[in-house]
Amino acid sequence: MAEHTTRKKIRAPHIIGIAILAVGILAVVLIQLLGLGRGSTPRGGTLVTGVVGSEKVAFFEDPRVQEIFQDNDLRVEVRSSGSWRMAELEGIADNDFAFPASEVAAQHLRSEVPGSTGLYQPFFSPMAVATFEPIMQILASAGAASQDADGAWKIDVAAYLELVANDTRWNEISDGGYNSPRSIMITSTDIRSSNSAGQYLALAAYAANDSNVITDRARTDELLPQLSRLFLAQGYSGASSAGPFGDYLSQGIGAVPMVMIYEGQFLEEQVSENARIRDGMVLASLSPTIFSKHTAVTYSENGEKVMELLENNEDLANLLAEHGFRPSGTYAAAFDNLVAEKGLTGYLDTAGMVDVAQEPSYEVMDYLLTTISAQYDVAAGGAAPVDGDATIAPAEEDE
Amino acid sequence: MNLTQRIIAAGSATLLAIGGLAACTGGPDHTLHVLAGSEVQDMAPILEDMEKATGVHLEFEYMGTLDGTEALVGGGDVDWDATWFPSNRYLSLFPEGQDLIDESTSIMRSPVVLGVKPEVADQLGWSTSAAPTWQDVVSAIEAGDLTYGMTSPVASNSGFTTLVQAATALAGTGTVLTEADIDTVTPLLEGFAEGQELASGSSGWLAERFVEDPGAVDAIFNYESVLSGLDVDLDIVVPSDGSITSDYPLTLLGGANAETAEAYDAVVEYLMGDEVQKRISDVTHRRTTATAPDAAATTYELPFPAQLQTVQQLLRTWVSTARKPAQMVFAIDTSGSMSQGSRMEDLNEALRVLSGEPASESGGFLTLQPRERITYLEFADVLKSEITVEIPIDQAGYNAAMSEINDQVDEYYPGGGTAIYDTLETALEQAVADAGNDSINSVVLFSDGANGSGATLGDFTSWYQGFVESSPEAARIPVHAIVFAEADADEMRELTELTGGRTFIAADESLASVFREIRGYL
Repeated sequence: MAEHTTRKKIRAPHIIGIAILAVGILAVVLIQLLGLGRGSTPRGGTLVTGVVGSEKVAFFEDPRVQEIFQDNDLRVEVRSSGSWRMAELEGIADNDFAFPASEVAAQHLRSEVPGSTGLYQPFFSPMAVATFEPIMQILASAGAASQDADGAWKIDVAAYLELVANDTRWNEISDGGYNSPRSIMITSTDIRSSNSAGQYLALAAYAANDSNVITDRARTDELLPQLSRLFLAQGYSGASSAGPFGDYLSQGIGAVPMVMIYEGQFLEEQVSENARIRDGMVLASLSPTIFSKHTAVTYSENGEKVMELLENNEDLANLLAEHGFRPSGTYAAAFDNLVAEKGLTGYLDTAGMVDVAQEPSYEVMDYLLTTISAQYDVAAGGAAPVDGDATIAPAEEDE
Repeated sequence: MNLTQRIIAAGSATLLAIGGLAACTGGPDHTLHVLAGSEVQDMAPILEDMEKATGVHLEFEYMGTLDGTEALVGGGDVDWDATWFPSNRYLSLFPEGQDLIDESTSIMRSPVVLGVKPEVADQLGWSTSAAPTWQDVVSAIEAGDLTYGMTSPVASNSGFTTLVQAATALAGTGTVLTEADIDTVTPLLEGFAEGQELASGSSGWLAERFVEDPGAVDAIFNYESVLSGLDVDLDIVVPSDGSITSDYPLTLLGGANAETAEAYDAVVEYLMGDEVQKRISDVTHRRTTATAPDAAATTYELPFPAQLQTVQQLLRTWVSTARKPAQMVFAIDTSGSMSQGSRMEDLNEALRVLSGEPASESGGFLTLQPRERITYLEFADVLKSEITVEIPIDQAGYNAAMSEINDQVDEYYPGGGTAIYDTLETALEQAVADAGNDSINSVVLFSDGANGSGATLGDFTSWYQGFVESSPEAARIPVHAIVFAEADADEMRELTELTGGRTFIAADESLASVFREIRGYL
């Protein structure tokens, strides 16, 4: 679940890096001959193409993943697209599968574009907040966070929204511990282009509506000012590939006290070789939480084969976990096992996640996204129509 | 993978590896054309080694961040493969700007902070552990206890960042600055602007001037990295309500072919390597992945506006209302040699940077602004014409002033010799007569040839020393020189060093772009 921006054009991954040159040609030959290398792209097998949310590209391009597909005579090639715009992509049904990061987006795709053969949910990603121990203590003192016996933090989303609604500043509640005059606010990716920010919006809408899914326009309009502020007041969301989670890792507590992420981004960083998770950095779960349900629409038998492998292949399940996704098929325990094996805290047992918000309908979600996005351009001459029927989707999903 | 496939894979890997090695031994096998801020010039030694390791050469064209943004979104052809400015924030606020960016990677970071002379910081009671708020900074300025230099917010990223962070913190909303906040903060920005005694179009030159003439101001706003690298004793003060960090994204522009994108990847991979990141920290004093973030929060990052109109309204307020107005004397050489080639047309185009139609995309902040005052001295061996115009605030008056200027400069004709120093003496006398604490004063010399009549540089130097003695305020009026065609660059450098100005060479770029650049220094 890399947070790198994928390019607008997908290019062939470049195989040879400086590292290989250093090792020398002979080593390259030996490694390749012995089949130890991970840098090679398997060729052969039936070509299967898919359009996926960019957060899944790194998983599909992982040579170990490709090799498993290869062993099943499949050669899977993916390109990325924003989850909310897949329905508008020309010829989407010519692919073997489309794989947005949202259940609602997938259902919309299924109803808009004919030719689908099935709907699969092989894995999901809960949203969570990457933050710092002192920040959680401050939120706890304000009644918006709590810590369980294992030391894992949980943010009470409704109480947090209340702090935001009251325009509470950090220096008003931190007792000198975090003397920032900034308003308490979770940083997110750009709502105009990113699914993870979209999940945050869906979660906030649910929590702000007293833990009910918003269903009508009147209630949506009532909550819009509060929901808009969560994004507009953050200011510029950054064009850097690393995104706000990258800023969190590199700039620390003074710059980004809390950032909304897929929990897997934190896990992937924790288990990576040069992990930048330092003392004091913690992952806080959300109450209620929301799942980014990676939902595939298949258009062919081969697309279905890929999804069935993702659901039922143990090695793939382990690799999914390593990339921070929670498998939901036969080997659903893979994620919990990895967390236990690595001794990580902050990740709830999959079975223990019961307080889960639901995404609103496509129409409500689209209306929210369109209306909030348009406010970035107010008076700039480029205001997007604030018409509920307009299907303006984010231009690009960036992580 | 079966054995055959492995052998094929190994074989092609070998071929690729040999290709890669060849790249390392020969000259550069790929050149990326990069539009960049002059800030990244300090990366030169690292980029040299990068070229050796990757075979990719970076060919730079330097522009100010805002000028560069205009070049990118202005509708002209984009000839560059990549950009490397201190920040993409302004660019990203333009819808066209977002579309231009294919991929970007932050290579290093530096916040814009205040470098204060230790004795002044002591007097004000400021230190790293007792940092002032932005309101404290404004109060110190209004009390007459702090003067500073900063770069032009409409030309240079560090000045732009200074303005945005000051306005955001002074608005005190705890969140992002919006258009509605700007009216509220305008009086505070006016108070802030009172302290500016030194102007510059680039952060590098600002730092140089501060080191050369430490008596000029008490402090400068600049990148933490620039201030850390200076050979003077300075207290680095980060206002307690926050600053904004520039993140130097190396950016691949859209439409790149696979080869270009691969070259970009190779550069990024090299620059982001652990050892290189460490080296960047050591050489440039910027923060990198080798710099661990502070465990405890001592400084805070302010948000940057997400709406283009907020930023443009802030810049408009700064240039037309808040900042000390510029008072400029332009000495313009129209000697006989200006009849050659397209020199008069080039000059006319360049003068329109000041008095032409403002460029609409970026807000047209380089044109003359209300409250400014400009004198044009057209000269050859004698003064040929002279006009002084104060730019009114109201639109009708503004338009009339522009017409007056343009009618005059359209009359310029080439002929006669070149009496540079006689004219400069006149220019400085006029500049001093109007100079005060409430304006930024400067003289700009444009010439296409060597001095041919009247006073010599030697004569001028003696005159200048006497003049500064009798009119001390003259020491704060830099003479900038634009070297065009056969003008004597070395002599112009001597002149500008003497007067605290800067020499601009119009050789590789158009004269108009030099005028755009120099506008940041006025």
